[in-house]
Amino acid sequence: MDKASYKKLGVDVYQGTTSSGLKYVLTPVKNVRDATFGIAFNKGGSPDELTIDGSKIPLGTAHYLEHRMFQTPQGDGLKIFMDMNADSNAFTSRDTTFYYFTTLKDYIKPLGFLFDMVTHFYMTEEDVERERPIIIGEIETNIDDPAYQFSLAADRALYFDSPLMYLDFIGTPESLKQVHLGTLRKFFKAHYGVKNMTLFGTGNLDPKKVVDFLEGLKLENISSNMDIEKVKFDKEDYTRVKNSFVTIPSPDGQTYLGVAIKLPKRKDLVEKFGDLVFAFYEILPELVFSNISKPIDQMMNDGLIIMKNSVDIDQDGEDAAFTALFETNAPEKLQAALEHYLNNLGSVYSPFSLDFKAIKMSYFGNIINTIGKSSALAEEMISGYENHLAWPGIAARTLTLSLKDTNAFLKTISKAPRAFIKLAGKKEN
Amino acid sequence: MNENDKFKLNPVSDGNFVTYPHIKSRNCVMAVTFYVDKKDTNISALNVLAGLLTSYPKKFKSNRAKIKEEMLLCNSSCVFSCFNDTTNYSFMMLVGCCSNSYTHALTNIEKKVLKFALDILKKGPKTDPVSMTLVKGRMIRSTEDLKGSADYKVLNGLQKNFLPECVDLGLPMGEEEQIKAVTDKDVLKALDLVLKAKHNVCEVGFDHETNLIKRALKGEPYFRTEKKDVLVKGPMQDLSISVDSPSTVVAILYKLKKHSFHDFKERMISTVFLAMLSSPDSFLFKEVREKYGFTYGISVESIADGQVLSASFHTDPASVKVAIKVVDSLLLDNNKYLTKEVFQNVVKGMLSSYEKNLNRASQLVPFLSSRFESKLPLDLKDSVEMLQLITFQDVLDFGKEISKVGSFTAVGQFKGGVK
Repeated sequence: MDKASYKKLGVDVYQGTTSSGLKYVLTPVKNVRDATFGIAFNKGGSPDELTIDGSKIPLGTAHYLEHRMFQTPQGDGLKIFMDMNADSNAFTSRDTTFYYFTTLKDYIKPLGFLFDMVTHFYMTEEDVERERPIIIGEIETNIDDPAYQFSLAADRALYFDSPLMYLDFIGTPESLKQVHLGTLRKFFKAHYGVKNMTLFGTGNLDPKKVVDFLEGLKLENISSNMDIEKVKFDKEDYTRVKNSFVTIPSPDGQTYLGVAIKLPKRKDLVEKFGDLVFAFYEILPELVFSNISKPIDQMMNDGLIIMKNSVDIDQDGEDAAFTALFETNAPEKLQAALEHYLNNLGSVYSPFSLDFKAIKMSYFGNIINTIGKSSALAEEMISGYENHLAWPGIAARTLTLSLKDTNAFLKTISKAPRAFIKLAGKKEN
Repeated sequence: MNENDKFKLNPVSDGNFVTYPHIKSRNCVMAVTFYVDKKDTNISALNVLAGLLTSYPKKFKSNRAKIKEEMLLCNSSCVFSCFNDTTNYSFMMLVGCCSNSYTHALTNIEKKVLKFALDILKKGPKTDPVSMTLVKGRMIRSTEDLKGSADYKVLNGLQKNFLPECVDLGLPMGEEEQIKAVTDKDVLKALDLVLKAKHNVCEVGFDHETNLIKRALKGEPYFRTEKKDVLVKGPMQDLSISVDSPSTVVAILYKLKKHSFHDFKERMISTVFLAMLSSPDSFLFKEVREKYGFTYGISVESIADGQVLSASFHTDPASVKVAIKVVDSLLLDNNKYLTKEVFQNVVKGMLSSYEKNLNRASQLVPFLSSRFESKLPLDLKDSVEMLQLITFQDVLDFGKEISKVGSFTAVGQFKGGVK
């Protein structure tokens, strides 16, 4: 078991692999009452697989399986966790499927059940059929969200050949019709083995006790060598976008303007900036689109931006899209102001002002809050792990970023191709 | 040590102040709630005041300068808001900052943040035409957004047809015309009313700095004495309208057993009953989602001080009628479906949530503040002991007295279901 200490943040991270090949990342935190444990499989909803053993893998398969995994021979998993004083849930991101629970009491018993649940495939065709309208209901909760419609249009405007073009990775009503028991079984066999599993633990836990328990687990490597036909996303052009301006109808009648920046290929960014790339990602939304940036503040004071609706970095494989959506009554003027601002991004932060320090101090406050919540810390640990880094390490690096490096990164962003998406409201039509 | 002793918070209550010096939390939070009489102002003027104090306080040259100060204070916050309660307008100043040994030792952040917040309140808002227009513009826009959503159309339908006086279902900032009509004089009058209003203070983590607040704000405490009986308009019917939004939203109202506002036990029974309906192992969730697949999730909420229950969900337009019928039969006959096992799980879950909140001041303080106002026990240990006194039979008796008020559906355009 390796231990890394992050004294400024007050956390230690223990990492290792058990004799059965299970990877674990444990982050105990003092003065926190609860603990969160979860198993992450390194396969999420990313549409990077066409077939498994000849069966088509429709969009949404990973998320469909996640929904059904709580059905166990002993009964409803949610309820069983509840009986053990644990709140459980799961989520599917592009890269990961994560099953987790949080508890204030004994964590060993629910941990045993968690392993049991995710390593057994137990469902019937009827169960799978019954789940379909429920997932469609989940999709429906997004469709009148302007931020969701914007992201969907933005990724399609930016890319020629990227997994990010499939924002609807939890599926569509059409793709979900093609998911059956056999699809889920093959997907399970291909991805739910020990070699694809990592256990995360955060909060009030004793690493030694956890590792002793993990060593005692009998984990079979259920995943067999299956024939997986991969989708290759290798024709992306990082010098331009597919459509630099797109108009779509607004789902709620208000007008919005969003900007989407196609960040350079990840490999190229890492070559240029090293691991600092991930530290920049931590504060990029604040740096570029918060009011601490004078031009953004000016756009708000001029009434060009009525509300800031969302700022995101969406990553998959080599690609990352940096997006922001604003509610506005003057989309053309706002577009011109954003174009001018983004073209000059490298000179927004001056060494003579406290602006950059303010962003780092604010980030520090956020870290303290995150570390104090075991479930929030677990989510950060996973997102860091997706980039092969321990999140406390990224956080510590972010606090030491220099203005010189930051401005160099912002200059790179400034040169990246971008697209604008207008969500035309009732007044625009 | 008794198992319940961990919930002992040892509050220190002094007039309109309640502090919790023994709670160890990673963030410090203070809620100051001012209770403004409804006859003296309106909800729009108070919301403009809250918006101006949050974004354009006189203390700072610009909104950006205020944001920068908050960021330099490790992402601290000072936010003002206003709510339309049954009996008055509650105007709240919520102050928060992170707290660890580093920030405390090197910066004495708690004192700085509290001074910063008090300065904002005392110096008041900017009321120049630009700041007023920006704040009012955002309020109008967000009111329009809300009014455009299927969820709001349903609430509005429920209010107009069944609960005409229920403030929980109204627009939180008032109608657009009322917002537009707010003048700088109205805002300054609202500030004056706030500063003179009865108020309560509840805090975690700021206990060494409470003198700052005591010196700055001298007012009487406020305690709620009554609950206004909700007026239910008949007849009971299932109404619907077509909306141009994609979603279809259904909300059904049920009247609950009448209970006194200050009857702690009855309030606790009502809380347990609602939790038994909204828990993931509740019969409602199981039947509506798992058995029939009508919806992804059903939300159960208490409105009008716990006098009415609303069950709402998104569904496929084709399923609306059957879904309403199913929910009605489940809720009106709840005694048939409520089980002792779920009761025990819910009680266990509530105990866990009390415990979880012990070091999450941001959740604990607003919760404790509303208890202070309602003269309910301020120590969680008392709540835990009351919860342990409640029996499954108490909940069944409570559930027997439920009756349907009516339902309202906004039928949207999405036809994505695959049945």
